[in-house]
Amino acid sequence: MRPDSGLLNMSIRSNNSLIDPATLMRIKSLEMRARVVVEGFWKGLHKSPYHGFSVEFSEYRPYTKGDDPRFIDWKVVARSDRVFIKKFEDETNLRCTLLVDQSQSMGYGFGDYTKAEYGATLAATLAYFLMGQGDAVGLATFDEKPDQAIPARNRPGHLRRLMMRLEQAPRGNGTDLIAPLKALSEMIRRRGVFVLISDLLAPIDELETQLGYLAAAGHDLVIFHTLDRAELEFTFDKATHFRDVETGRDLYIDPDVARAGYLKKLNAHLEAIRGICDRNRIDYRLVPTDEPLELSLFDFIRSRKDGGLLPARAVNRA
Amino acid sequence: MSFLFPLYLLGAAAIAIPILLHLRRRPPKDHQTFSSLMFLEKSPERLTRRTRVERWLLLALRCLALILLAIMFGRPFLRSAQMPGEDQEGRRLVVMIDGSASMRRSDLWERAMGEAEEVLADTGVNDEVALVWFDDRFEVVRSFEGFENVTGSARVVALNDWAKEGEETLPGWRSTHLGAALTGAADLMADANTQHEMEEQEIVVISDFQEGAERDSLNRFAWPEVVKVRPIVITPKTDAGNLALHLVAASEDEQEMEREENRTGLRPPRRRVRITNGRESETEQFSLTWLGEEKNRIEGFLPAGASRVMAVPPRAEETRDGILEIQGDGQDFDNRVYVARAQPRPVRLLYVGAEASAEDVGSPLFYLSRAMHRTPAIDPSVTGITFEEIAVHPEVLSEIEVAVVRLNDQTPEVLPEALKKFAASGKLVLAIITEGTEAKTLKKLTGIESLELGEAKVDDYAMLAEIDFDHPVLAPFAQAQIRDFTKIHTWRHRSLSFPESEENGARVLARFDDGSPAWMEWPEGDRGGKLFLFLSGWEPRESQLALSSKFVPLVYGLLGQAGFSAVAEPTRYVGDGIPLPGNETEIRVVPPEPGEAVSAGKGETEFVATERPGFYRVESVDALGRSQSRVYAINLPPDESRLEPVDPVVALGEFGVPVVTASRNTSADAGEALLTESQRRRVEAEEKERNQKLWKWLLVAVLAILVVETWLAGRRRISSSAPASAEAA
Repeated sequence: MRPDSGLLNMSIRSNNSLIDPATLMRIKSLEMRARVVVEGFWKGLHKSPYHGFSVEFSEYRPYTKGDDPRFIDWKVVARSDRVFIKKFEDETNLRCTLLVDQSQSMGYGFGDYTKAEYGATLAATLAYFLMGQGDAVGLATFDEKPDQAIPARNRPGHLRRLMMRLEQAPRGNGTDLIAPLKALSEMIRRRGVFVLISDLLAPIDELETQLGYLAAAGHDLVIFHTLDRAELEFTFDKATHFRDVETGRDLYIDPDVARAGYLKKLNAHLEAIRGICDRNRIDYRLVPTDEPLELSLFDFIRSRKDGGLLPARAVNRA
Repeated sequence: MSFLFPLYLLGAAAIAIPILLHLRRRPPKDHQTFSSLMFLEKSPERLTRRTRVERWLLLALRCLALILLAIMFGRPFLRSAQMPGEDQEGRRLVVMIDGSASMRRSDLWERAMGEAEEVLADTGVNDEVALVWFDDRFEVVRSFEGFENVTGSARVVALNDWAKEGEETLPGWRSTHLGAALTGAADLMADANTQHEMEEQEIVVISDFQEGAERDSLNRFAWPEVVKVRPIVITPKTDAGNLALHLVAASEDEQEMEREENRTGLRPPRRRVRITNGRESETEQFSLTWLGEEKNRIEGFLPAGASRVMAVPPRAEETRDGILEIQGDGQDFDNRVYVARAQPRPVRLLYVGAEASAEDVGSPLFYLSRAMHRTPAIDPSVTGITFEEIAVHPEVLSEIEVAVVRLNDQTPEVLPEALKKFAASGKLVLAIITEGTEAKTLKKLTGIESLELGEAKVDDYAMLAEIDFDHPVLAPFAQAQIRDFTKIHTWRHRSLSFPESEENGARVLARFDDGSPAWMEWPEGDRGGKLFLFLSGWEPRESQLALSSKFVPLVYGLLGQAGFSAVAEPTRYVGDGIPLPGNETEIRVVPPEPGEAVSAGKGETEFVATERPGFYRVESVDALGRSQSRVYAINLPPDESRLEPVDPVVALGEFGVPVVTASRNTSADAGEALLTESQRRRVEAEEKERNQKLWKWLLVAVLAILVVETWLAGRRRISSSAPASAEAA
């Protein structure tokens, strides 16, 4: 599968093999965007020092007491008289649920695209990547309340379904992280990976509790904190009325005056989130929307490898 | 530079507004959406710290415009500049005050005095001023000489003195002859004996400029161009309109009809009045009544601007003087009409003839006595006397006014002399020449020595010809319908001839168709005496004259020649003369209250000091000690009732009179007299400002600055929006 646009190909190559998100976002189809990113990632994968990782790796291990005798490879027992357990491929598959924030605040973007578009592209990229290697991917979007979640599957057409859901425009007014997390933790009993893509622009008082529940239930948590560069650095210079996209509230802001306070509060907020993630062993990654998507994907894969937290591997390692 | 209204300069403080607006940050017009305001706090809206003033040129222009505007409202002027006319020469001024009857209304006269005071106070020592008042007269109160080299205030004093003097008589009751007064004033100005020609010559007319004022005499006058007229119109503050009442003179026909009716004694003389309602009048109801006889009231309705002639209410008694009054309007000076009682003058006619019987159909006396009847004007009485009787009582002639003598061959010799003497005393003699009259009798009577008299030879009949309709006696017959005398046939008449050189002032009124005089007239003496000669009798034996319709008017015409016109007394208005009896020894005129009786001097034939409407009683005692009294009614001139003010510019302009309406400003002299120092300086400042009009230039400057400012601002807006749109593209 190759990108069918020569221009796109050139763009990818010229930018140090990483695609500029602004260029990427001009591609209208979400699925195509995901494909471009993942294929570009694969091109670079060979150069990557972290190659060799694959969730498809299967192995034998010596039988230990308590293992289900159904999984004993009797052929090996007959040949070598040693009892080994054979690991089935389907068991090693990753069950990944993408949690994508579609609240109004995600609809904000200082540049040509919004955080929601970026987040959707990131989610699509991950889904494409994971589906491509045979993992099951589910999707739950939320604003101030959770939507009907798409359960993790890996079957033909599922990817298209995910894409369609992701292409929905942000619509909710507020951002409530707690309720969706709570709902998901109740709904999904099987352990898996939760990828939360959100700007986390909401009070975080109860966030730690819910994340703690999820972590305690054995789920693996990855947070992609998407923020616009304007939000991170408050790049405005004109005093004007600022309108909250979620609540519609107006405030007269003189950036020269307000910048310092804003950055201080923002940093405190980010610190608090990092603190929560550290305490709960959650992979946290701050993703400015002008950062190439490949880096996020790369970090995700690396975190899977380094953390070794994938359930299937954890089982095998044990 | 000084300012008329320095307080307005405070308005320059308004420049703070554009400065503040410039310093202030432009309030955000658009909104910046942002994902969340959870990390933001409201910033205070404050002045920018930037010391750099944006758009300094615009700011400067705006401030400049505001400052100029403030200065403009302050009305700046240069104190050093000279006052206009400060060093000018004096002017020549005639101040005319209207003293006519219409000025009697409410406070018009007081206000006119006030205006005159102001005008006079406004004059300076250099000015030549004359003070004049007018109604139908034109009287100079103070000539130019009388007002020479005095200040305005001194003139005001003189005015007040005069007004106090004339308090009783002014304003009078006469009509307004504005045109005549203006020409008089112009003449006065032209005749002024001055050392140098004045540039400015002005006639100030203080009047109510009523419609009824006479102006036509301006038509005959070439108005000098240098003389301007400045009208000061005085109108009553409240004008409820005016109802005017005036007697209507009856036409000749009506008088004749009246005479006929009087003869039968059927009706009292009719009198009619014209009632006029002013155009601006608010009242339309009126009531007309004789004073003292209010029960015979006529209530009527007359719309504004209308005029109506109507019969007066009936009177119980015609023999008293009556005052007719109209009620219902706001102006009462013209509401009364004075009607003198009917007072026919007694006329005694004496018929002298051979037979003096009024019952004899063949006698001229029969017809004469039947022709004479009482009219409103005369009360004739006819007595007959024979030649014998007059020879015995010649003094009877002194008691009569008219003698009718039928001369014949028996005429006493002394009679012509006596008649001549009688006529010379201002009386009238009508001599009828009959058959057989001796020529010497006629010679004595006429004073023509060489006349020839004889019986004319008449075939069938003679007719009258060559009738002199110019003669007052025959003038009434001049109309085409009644000038036909051919139906009067004369059976017998005398023929008279005399050389033209000896005619003695004779005038032939009519001739017979054979060329012989029929009716003749000689003046007798210098007191208006007259001798009429009829060369044929009027009785049927002689001619058809007595039986014709011409006879009665002819006899009344002859009475008129004796000073006893049967025509009713004309309506007399204020200022008109009252005739005085000529031959009485002592004459007194008693004017209406509060006037005092005046004795007329010898030889006066008219009393002209009729200064107010009312009844004037003329009392006289004749040579025989008989006292007579006669009452004349004097009324207000009808034109004075036409009160609607006219626009002097139009009314005088049509006669080519230049009218100036702008009032002159207080000049230095008057200012000193009337104003305090601060007031004077104020007035002076206003005058300077008005003449310099610096504010106009400031306004022009402000407009120019605003144009530049608009252009700059517009350009700036375009340039600021251009990159933005380019960016958007």
